[in-house]
Amino acid sequence: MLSMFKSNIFKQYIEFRRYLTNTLLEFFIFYMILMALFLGFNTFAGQMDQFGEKIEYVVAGYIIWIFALAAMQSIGWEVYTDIQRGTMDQLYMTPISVWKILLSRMIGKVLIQSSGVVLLTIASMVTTGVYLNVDLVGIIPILLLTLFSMFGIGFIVAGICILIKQVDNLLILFQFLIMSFIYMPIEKAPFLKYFPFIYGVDMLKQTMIDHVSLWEFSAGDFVFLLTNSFVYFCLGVGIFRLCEKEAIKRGLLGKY
Amino acid sequence: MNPIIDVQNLTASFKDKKGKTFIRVVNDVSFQVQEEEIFGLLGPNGAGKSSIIRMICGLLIPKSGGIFIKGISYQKRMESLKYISTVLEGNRNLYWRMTVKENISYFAGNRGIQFKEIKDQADEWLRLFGLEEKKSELVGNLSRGMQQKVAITVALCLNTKVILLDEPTLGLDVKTTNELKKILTKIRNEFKKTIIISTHDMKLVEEICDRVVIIDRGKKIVEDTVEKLMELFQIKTYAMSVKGGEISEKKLNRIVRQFPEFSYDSTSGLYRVDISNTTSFYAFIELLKKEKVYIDSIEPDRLDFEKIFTILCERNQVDAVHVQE
Ligand SMILES: Nc1ncnc2c1ncn2[C@@H]1O[C@H](COP(=O)(O)OP(=O)(O)O)[C@@H](O)[C@H]1O
Ligand SMILES: [Mg+2]
Repeated sequence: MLSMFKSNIFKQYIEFRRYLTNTLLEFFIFYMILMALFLGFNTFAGQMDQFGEKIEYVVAGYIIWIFALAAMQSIGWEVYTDIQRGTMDQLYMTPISVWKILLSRMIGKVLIQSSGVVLLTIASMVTTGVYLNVDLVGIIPILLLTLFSMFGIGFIVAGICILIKQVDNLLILFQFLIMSFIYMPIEKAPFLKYFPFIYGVDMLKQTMIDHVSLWEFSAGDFVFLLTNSFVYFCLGVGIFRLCEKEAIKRGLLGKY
Repeated sequence: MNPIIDVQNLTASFKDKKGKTFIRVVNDVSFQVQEEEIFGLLGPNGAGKSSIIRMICGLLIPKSGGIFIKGISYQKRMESLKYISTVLEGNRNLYWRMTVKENISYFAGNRGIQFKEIKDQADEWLRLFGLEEKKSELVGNLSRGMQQKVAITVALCLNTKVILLDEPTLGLDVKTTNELKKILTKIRNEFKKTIIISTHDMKLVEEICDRVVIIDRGKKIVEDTVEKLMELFQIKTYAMSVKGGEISEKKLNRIVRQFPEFSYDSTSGLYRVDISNTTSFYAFIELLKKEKVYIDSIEPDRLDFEKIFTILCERNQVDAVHVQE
């Protein structure tokens, strides 16, 4: 079990290193988009009040979005390529639940991506002069909790990939869907907090933008976040397992 | 001795193209594989071999019937899958963007095996396959034959008792195929593995398998040792060459009309004769004399599996008609 975990984390690392230029380019593009957002915002909303607060909102959301992509969308791409290349079948012939393998990979991806996100955050703060509150004591626990509901969604995406196989367009669409969820202000639609990860994202935004520290949140906030993450994580794994069962029954595995 | 793989009345079916009716692609197939056996699953394309392999290795759920791996039902997959590793058909078993070593390490790790535990063993397999220099090469950069060898190496490194190979020689050149045959035999002999091979390559079965099940259109048509099957068909058949090399077509037609057990095999340039009916064989010799055909040499035919296979499938066709009536 432990060696399976290590093995998959290492796989992510191998891929990261092998495609380092690719990854760097990706981050550069992320950075450029962020700059474009910033500049665009600057020209359009230059005269607006509370300008600083608004741009902080954009930057924080963007950074959370990149995290969310690592947790939710990249596993979709991985399952997609593993199915296209046939290696998914090898995973299914291993006497270990595939969802555990995928979870290890998601964790690996997030770990590796965080180094990039840290760089991106620093770079964007320095160049834009918009300083977010990087209160790690507050951010890390909330992020960890939030990640699990994101993993849950990652599993649902992975399950759909196994059943449908041709999901590339869907995955591209999905990343914008995630973005709109992240930018959605929870105050405008309170029911959104029952959705996956939105409550956590809101807490993150409060920490990063409004400088709310960890102990200023109520216990109720954390209980809610924990429950939300737990429910969506389990739901995700459950749905994934249903999908794989159906795929095996339909004979979708091991065939090309 | 208890079989290591026990397949009982296995049936699989898929929806047809319109998605309305189910088609049985594996129909009531049973067989047992003993430990340390090289077992062949032989049949033409579409016979259902891959479907059987996929059911054994847990990628497809049988419609009915049982599979027991070391006595453990396929339904307890987390238990039963520990004993087998599989190389599926084609070159889709490995990560192309990882090196040979990384592939070995990754798949072993998934099974709870640390790379350092198997490092020496892995080196030995790689040497056996002549791949020691390719260890740090990306799998995607290797030739098809090498990829196949690496895939088998990975399967070996998983330390399972049984190895399933689906069409292991498909798409390989003659040289690599011959190499592979030698290595597989060696693996069984020296490393005490059980090997199950699904193939439509009759030479492969003939040369390395101990026992074989022949499958045609989803049904088992024969199960026997390769040796027995060869014997059964060999004794009665002789191959002969004639003085002057060839019999003219006219003559040949005349002879065959009277003696249908006589035939010409254009690939070997030899004439084949079935002498199981001895009385008519004497008449046949007379007939040759009359036609002024002189035998140059005659010896027991090295009848290949292909011929046996064709004969068996023809029989099966007859059986199939009977079943429907
Ligand atoms: N997932 C599937 N859906 C529908 N038909 C299938 C599927 N897998 C295999 N078949 C059909 O089952 C039959 C047997 O296929 P297969 O087991 O691959 O045979 P073999 O390996 O002997 O060539 C073929 O007619 C094939 O088209
Ligand atoms: Mg096949």
